[in-house]
Amino acid sequence: MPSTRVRGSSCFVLLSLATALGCGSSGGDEPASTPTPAPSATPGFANARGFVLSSFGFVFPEGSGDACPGGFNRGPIEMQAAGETPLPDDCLDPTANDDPGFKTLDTTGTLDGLDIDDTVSRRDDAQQCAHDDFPAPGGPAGVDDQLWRAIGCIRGFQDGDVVESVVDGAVRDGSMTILVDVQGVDDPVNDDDVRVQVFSSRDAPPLGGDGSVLPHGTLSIDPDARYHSSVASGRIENGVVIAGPLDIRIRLNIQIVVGDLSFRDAYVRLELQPDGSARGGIFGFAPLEDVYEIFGRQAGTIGGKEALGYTCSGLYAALTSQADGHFDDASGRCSSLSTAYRFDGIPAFVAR
Amino acid sequence: MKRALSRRTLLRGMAGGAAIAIGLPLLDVFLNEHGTALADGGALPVRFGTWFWGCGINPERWQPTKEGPGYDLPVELAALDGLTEHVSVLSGFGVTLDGRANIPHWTGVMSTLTGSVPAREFDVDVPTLDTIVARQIGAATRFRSLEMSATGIPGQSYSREATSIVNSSTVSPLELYTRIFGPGFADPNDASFEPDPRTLLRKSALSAVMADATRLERQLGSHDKQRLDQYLTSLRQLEQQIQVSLTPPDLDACTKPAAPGGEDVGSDLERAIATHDLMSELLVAALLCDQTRVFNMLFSWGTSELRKQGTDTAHHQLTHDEMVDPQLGYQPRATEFALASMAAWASFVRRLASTPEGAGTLLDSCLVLGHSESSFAKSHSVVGLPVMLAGHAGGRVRAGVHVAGNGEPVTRIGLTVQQAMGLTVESWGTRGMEATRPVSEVLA
Amino acid sequence: MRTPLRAALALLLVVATACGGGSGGGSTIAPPLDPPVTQPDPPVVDAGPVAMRRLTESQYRATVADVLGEDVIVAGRFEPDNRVSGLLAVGASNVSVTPAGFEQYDAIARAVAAQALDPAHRAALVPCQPSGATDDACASAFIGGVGRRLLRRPLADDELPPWLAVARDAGAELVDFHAGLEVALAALMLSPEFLFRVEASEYDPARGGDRLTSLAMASRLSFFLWNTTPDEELLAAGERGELTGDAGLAAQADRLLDSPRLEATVREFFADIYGFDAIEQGLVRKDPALFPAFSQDMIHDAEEQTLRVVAEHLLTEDGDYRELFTTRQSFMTRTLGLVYRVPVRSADGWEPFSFPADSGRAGVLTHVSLLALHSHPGRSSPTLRGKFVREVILCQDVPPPPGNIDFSMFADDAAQNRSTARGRLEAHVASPACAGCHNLMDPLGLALERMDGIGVERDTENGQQIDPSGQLDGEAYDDAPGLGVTLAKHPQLSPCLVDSLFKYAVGRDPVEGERAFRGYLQERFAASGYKLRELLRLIVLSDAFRTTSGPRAASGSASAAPQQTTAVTVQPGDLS
Repeated sequence: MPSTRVRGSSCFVLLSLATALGCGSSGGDEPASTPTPAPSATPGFANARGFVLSSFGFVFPEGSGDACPGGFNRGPIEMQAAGETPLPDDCLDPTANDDPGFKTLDTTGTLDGLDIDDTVSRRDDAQQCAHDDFPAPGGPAGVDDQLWRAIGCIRGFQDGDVVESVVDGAVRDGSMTILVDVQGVDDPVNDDDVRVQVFSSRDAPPLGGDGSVLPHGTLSIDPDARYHSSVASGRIENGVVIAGPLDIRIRLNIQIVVGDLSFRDAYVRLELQPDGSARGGIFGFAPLEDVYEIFGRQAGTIGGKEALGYTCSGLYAALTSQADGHFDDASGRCSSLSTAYRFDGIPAFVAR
Repeated sequence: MKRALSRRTLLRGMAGGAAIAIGLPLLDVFLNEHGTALADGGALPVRFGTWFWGCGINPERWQPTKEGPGYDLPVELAALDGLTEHVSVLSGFGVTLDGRANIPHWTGVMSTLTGSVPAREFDVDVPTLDTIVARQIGAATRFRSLEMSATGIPGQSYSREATSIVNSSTVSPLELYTRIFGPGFADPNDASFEPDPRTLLRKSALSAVMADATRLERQLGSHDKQRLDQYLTSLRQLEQQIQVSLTPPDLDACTKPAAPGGEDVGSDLERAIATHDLMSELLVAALLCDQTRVFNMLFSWGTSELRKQGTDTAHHQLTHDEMVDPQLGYQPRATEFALASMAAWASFVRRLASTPEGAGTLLDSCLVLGHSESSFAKSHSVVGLPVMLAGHAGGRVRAGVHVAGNGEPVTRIGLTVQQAMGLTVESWGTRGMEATRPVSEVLA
Repeated sequence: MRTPLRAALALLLVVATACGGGSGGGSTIAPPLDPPVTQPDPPVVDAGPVAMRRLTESQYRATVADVLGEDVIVAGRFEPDNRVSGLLAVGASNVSVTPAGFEQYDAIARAVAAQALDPAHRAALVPCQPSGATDDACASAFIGGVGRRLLRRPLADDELPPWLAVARDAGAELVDFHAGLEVALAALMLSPEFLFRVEASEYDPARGGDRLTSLAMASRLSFFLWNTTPDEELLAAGERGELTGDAGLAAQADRLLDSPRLEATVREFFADIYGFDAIEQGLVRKDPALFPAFSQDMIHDAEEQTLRVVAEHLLTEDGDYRELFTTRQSFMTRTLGLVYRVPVRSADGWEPFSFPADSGRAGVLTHVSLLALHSHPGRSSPTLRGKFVREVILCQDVPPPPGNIDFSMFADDAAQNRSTARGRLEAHVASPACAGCHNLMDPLGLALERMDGIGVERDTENGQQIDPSGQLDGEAYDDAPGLGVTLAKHPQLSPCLVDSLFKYAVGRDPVEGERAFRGYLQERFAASGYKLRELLRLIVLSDAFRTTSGPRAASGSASAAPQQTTAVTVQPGDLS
């Protein structure tokens, strides 16, 4: 667990600044006509704050510099358009090719993530899997997001592009329903002992006529216990929940890609809003092979690399080279990549 | 004169040539009417309709100052720009209460339509104007009349035979389409049209139903006899309808329209306007195919529930709660709905005026009574009700004049309408509302 | 006849001094008045007239299901039923059939007949194999059998030939025996004796007055207790003349009362008085931007919730009627859980749910169904809700607004507190012309203001705290559950139910000669602990149900009903 100073976000740099900066709220809110709803008194739901995610996606770096000075990576379509013949690229055996020249992210922008390994590192450090951390907005370095280093120069993953809209839609249409449950909340503003769990659900979130996710629905956790994260202890400080580490597995069944979104040793952060909703993030290590399973073995073989703009061998090489977590003695290299995801959560009853 | 066509029509209805006794004397009468009026290209039928909007207008911003032809268009009548030659404005006709209560949002409309000031809310002792006209001219068509409402509640209709006998409104364009142009419609442009052999069988089966009803009548009391009478009238209308459906209308202007989608209906203004547009389009097609000659269109109910999407207060509520703006001199939000209603009325009239039929337009042979249940809704005023007559009624009315009623009973207009539609009636209405003189300025 | 307000107040004072009632939180209700030591016989009844009663949509559907098959689909838009004296069941004895309505019945009947005679269904209805495209004997058997069930009486010998001719001609024309039967069946379903329940009467020499015939009693019993056409056993008992005798009637009445099918009538009756036909027809609409959680699914679930609670409490638990206004027991689906903001474990379907003691909800007045129905598309309406309580729950007349209202009192907007409904409605009670009626309605609706236009709970409106306290005819309450407790003790509460149920049973307003009997019903109802089954039994075995003064005469103008309403959701004159 990182030290008590939770890093990586302007909100957390100094606790004393947190309230002054009006963290987590849009500042100067008028009292809403519906106050933050009290937890239900029904047994099993007392003192719980549940959420169903209404949007989900990568945290993008902000700020200076051209993150991909060499341009975006090229998938088969771009190559053909440039009059080149795409190289043989076997997504089921991505190491068969020699170095495919994949471009990884090279930015000095800030990233509103978390210093997951509680270390400020640089690429040329002596330790294994050394990598460049990102600076946090308005402050110190140390934020880990090696997954973004790896895929950040792929066109389809950019802010506003295909992956973002598909994933954001998926959490709302039942393809990838994610529940976050905070239990043991005696005081929603400051509480030094809460428990957080993340679940998949087979239910789709309730939607209003305008497509927004409606609050106060009940959703059941996935019957398969593999999609129940471990229980993490946490605390609430000035309305911000932070808990971890958690191992999380989220089921996804998006279009025809079926797989798991997994995290090891992740931290969950939620900023509780006055209207009862939450804004937050998941920061943890994504197992390299799980990431490749989705984008290489599945999406890659059905047109994903053409649509998003990468080659499987290039992607695999980038993931391998950028991995920064869970060093595996047998293979002699790191087997996971730090990641930063952000989400919005709508109040929901998480039924177990 | 029986035409050869009528015998051919009978024969076409008997598939395989097997004769089936029909034996209803009405058959010849209406076939004749249906045939001669239309098939030989004779005079087009005159159609009558009502068009109602709720919660009136602001009289001082609506009423023209000039009488006679070429009247001026104050701001709340401006929507009629370009249509004044087709529309007569009858201002200043109202209700003489004669000691009875002014039932809010009810007395004005029911006095206009029944000739009597109602004694109680929802009680309607006498038939409304449209049903009187329909009895006269609705016998020959597939539908005696068509009732439509743009705000989505079927029970909202001012068309009544008597208490509890309400001709409810169709509220969905798709339903209206299905009813008129669905399975029962004989499409004149369908070269392969063959009447369904079951159709005539259905009609003869109704004789057995009629016999049953006649047997029942003997054991009924007077209350139920009246109701059975209404039931029999409706049964005969169904027979009429079945008969008409055997022959496609021989009308140049008749074309089966495209089906509308299944859009939602509701009382928010945008939706009401869209529903009104769709249903008006279908109504025009129905008139051109002579499916009916009488119609009632409700743009909004007397307690107008029209409401802007996303706002919490409807038209009617605003007329009472909203303050008159001291600068403007009227209630701004409520008046928006009055203007929208006038715009919808104008679009309705314009649609009839721009639909070709015969040598002229559909409007030439129509007479449409545009009216509301109050003049100034905030005070439920039934003085100077806003009334308009659109159309030329086949030459029987003089359109395009402004007549100032000067406090005369609004029943004079109902009397005028009946005379224009060919009813021989000298007076109409009761007590202080009895009208003995029509508004001759609008009669040709 | 509804008790004028003054009489109700007088009665309240008498009750208040005569017995100490509990008050305060929880569901303490004053115990019933001591039952009389001896059970007196019912008073003599001089019953009112009969009139033919048009089948309501639900009765039509139930009849088709029972006679022609449960899986036969009834599709089409029925002419709206008419509400008179607060009940569609009373309006049914005033309506006829309009041309458009007849057209619809014809379309529905043809579609039903086609299904009933299709190869899959015909075996159940046609008791013989035809010898060809026409077969008079077989057709007679069919028409006689189905006609008896549809017209609710056996067909006379001279009635059969015309129907037979229809079947024969059609069978010959279409070269298909069953198609011929189909045409006959579709026409039978247009017969006035199918569409209307003709309540025939005959002279009873023993009484010296008219009574309903045994067959008419079969229909009355069945439609009153099961909301459907008489089943074979009941119809046969009717044919054998058993239902004009005490023993025969009691036997069938008890059979119907003991059956689970009794629930159909409980649902139908409460749906009628609560105005749920508007929900059924999809006429309850709300602004989507202001109420994103509203949907037709949700409001239909809400209706079902209320009817389940009523049926569970009054039938399954044989509960005290008054507790409908205080009970915290309910049922939930996930769709409703969204609106009530409570967790619902069952992913599909219904589960029981109890509101906690400190929640703002208790009793049917806090149900989403009634709250959303008696509101506007854009906001709640204390006046509509209060009017509902007065007129439907307490049977107290609220006169319509006067015509010549001076609305200038609303001119000075700024000076008045308009953030909450209470503030906006204060102008109503400030003016003497408005206060009389609005004081009856508004305070009751204001108790429910902590639930918005679709029934979602809220503490504030436009930033201002909502105050739900008030008083009902002198009894104070602090909030909506408190209103329920007060209502449960109101002396008009159970007489109103008795009267409504009586009108529902006979399909008309009561007449003077039935006044004493209604008082008797009220006493027995109270003595029984306000149990519905007992009330139903007393009604069906009474002279008021079995006898009549004869066929109703046409009235000069309107019928005898003092108040008539059409089945629309918004009434002319409504302001708030």
